[in-house]
Amino acid sequence: MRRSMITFAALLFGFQVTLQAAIPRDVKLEVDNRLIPAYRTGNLETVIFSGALIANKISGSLIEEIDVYLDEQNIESLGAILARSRFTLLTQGQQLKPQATGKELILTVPYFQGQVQEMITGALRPTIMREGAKFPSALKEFEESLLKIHIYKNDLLNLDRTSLLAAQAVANALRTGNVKPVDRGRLSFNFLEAREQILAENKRRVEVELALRVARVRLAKRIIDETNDLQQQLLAVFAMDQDLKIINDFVEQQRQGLFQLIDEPDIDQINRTVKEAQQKAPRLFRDAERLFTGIHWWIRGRYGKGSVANGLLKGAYVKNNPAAGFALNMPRNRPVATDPFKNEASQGSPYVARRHENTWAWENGGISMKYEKTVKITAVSDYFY
Amino acid sequence: MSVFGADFDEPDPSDAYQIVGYQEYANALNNLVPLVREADEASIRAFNKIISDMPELVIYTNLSRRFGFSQVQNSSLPLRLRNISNLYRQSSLNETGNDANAYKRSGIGWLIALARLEHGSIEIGYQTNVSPYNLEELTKVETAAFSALLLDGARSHYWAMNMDLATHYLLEGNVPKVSDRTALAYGRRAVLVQEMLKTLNQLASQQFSPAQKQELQSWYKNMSAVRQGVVYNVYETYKVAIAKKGIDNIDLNGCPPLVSGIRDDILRGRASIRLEE
Repeated sequence: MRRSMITFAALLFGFQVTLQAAIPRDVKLEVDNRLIPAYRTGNLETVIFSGALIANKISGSLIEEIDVYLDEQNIESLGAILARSRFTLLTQGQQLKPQATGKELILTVPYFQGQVQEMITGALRPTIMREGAKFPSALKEFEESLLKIHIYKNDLLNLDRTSLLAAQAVANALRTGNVKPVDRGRLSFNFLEAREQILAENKRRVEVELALRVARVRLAKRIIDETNDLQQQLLAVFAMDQDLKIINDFVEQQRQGLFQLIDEPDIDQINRTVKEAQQKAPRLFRDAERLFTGIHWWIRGRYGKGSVANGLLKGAYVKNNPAAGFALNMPRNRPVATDPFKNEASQGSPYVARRHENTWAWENGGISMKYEKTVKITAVSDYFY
Repeated sequence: MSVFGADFDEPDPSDAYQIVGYQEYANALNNLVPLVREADEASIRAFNKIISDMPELVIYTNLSRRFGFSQVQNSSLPLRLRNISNLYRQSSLNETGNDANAYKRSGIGWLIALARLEHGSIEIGYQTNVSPYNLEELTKVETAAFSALLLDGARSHYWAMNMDLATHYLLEGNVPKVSDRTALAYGRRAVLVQEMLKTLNQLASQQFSPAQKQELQSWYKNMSAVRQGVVYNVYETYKVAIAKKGIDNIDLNGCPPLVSGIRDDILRGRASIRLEE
């Protein structure tokens, strides 16, 4: 398949004689017929293949023309979608082909750079982490703040990886001489220095998160003691349980030498508070754990994406180690189920309304033919027919 | 005398683990089912309040109504598809109305029901579980929701298959038009629809009118015919393959050829084609 794609692409671009200000027909065909459909369906391998093909073939104002055209389709720039696709697959440990060339890096590095700089300027920082922010007073507000901090934590983690990968890719391109002298300035951003700032920001994030969780344990205890509202009690118990685990994990990490510059929370006091609540209402704790653990797994089943077949499947490695299949790509923000018959978004949420309407098509069986145990023809597939 | 054998490969049950949703929904069920089994009405109300505050837990239903939309009724469609579209509109099993809010569901029962449906449907296709939807563990709070989702699921598959040319090629025995691999996948889909219909009959037969029951039975028979087409396709495909090796006769053992008893041929590796030279 890949070979036929390359042949097709060679034919496609073979007719291109000169670059013009308007997008050449063959490039536009590639964008319309392969890049955009692959982008919309989340087929990142094809996005990279097609995007790299375009990036390496054209330059200058044509890139801008394509970005304008993509923008008209509500799609980010070519550099942005290429960069994000490569990064996503790299973080899944997948081998990427083709390798990013110097020409491609000139498109993607500014995107990576922009993301890192956005963090450095504080544009991504959640309100609760800003100077003079007021602490929440209700469980719902705590949940919202902690969710934003959790998203920010993932952002910082991703930016740290982004910086490392970008630094390596740029160093490699410069070392192998694949970048024209005129373009070297566009690859001059110091990603390694930026990593230091990311780590400092993460430390601040940990401090605020810990303070929020300690405060929430106290609030949860008051709710359990003082209210008869079962809904509120369940939410309080769940919050308390979650905070206790995370605070204990933090203290454990601190005892192993990490986060030494952050004050240790009064873990004994917190443990006593939670234990007292558990002894008073064991059934409540058990129900909350079942309810929220069940919901957690349900959300993963509903919204989770695997690494192959447009997210419907996980890699074959999970067959030997089912626990390895717990890792899934989840939406960055809290998902919202949308009406599948409304076409307001480019992709529905969840991305498949019912999995059973799709998974039957994965043909894993087949037929084998034998002749005196020496002839064996096996029809087995590991992909959708 | 040399003997050729053609056997269905036994599907690898561990394949199911590759399908997103299999482990996740199983874990959801393992927590939510015991929770509601031991819960009183006040607790269920509290669970439902919590769930209703979470927009990510909303479930839209009656997805099969998409087959009634205007583009499906377009007069430029081939005659066969227009006929199927007419049959859809005449079906006694449709839920009418396009108001999305009427099909916006929330609650612990809907959560469990969807998890049971999705998990069980993977079991049907890739495992050898005799009780794929695990009805022994069905809870009162989810029964109505599960029946509704089953019926909607069966409708979606049934009409999608009928509007799909590959299904008709299988029914007509048009072997060159459908690869063996596609045929096997369609066989799995037919088995899935039949399991949904059987479960529906077991759970909710009293809710259907005689006309609806008759229509459900005709769907079941239609799926049996698809499965026969699958076996015929596979049989013919491999007969040709064996014939190319200089063999001119083939026997189909293990299941009555092209008739019935084929469900497990696909799922459990029971089918066997033997050739005596």
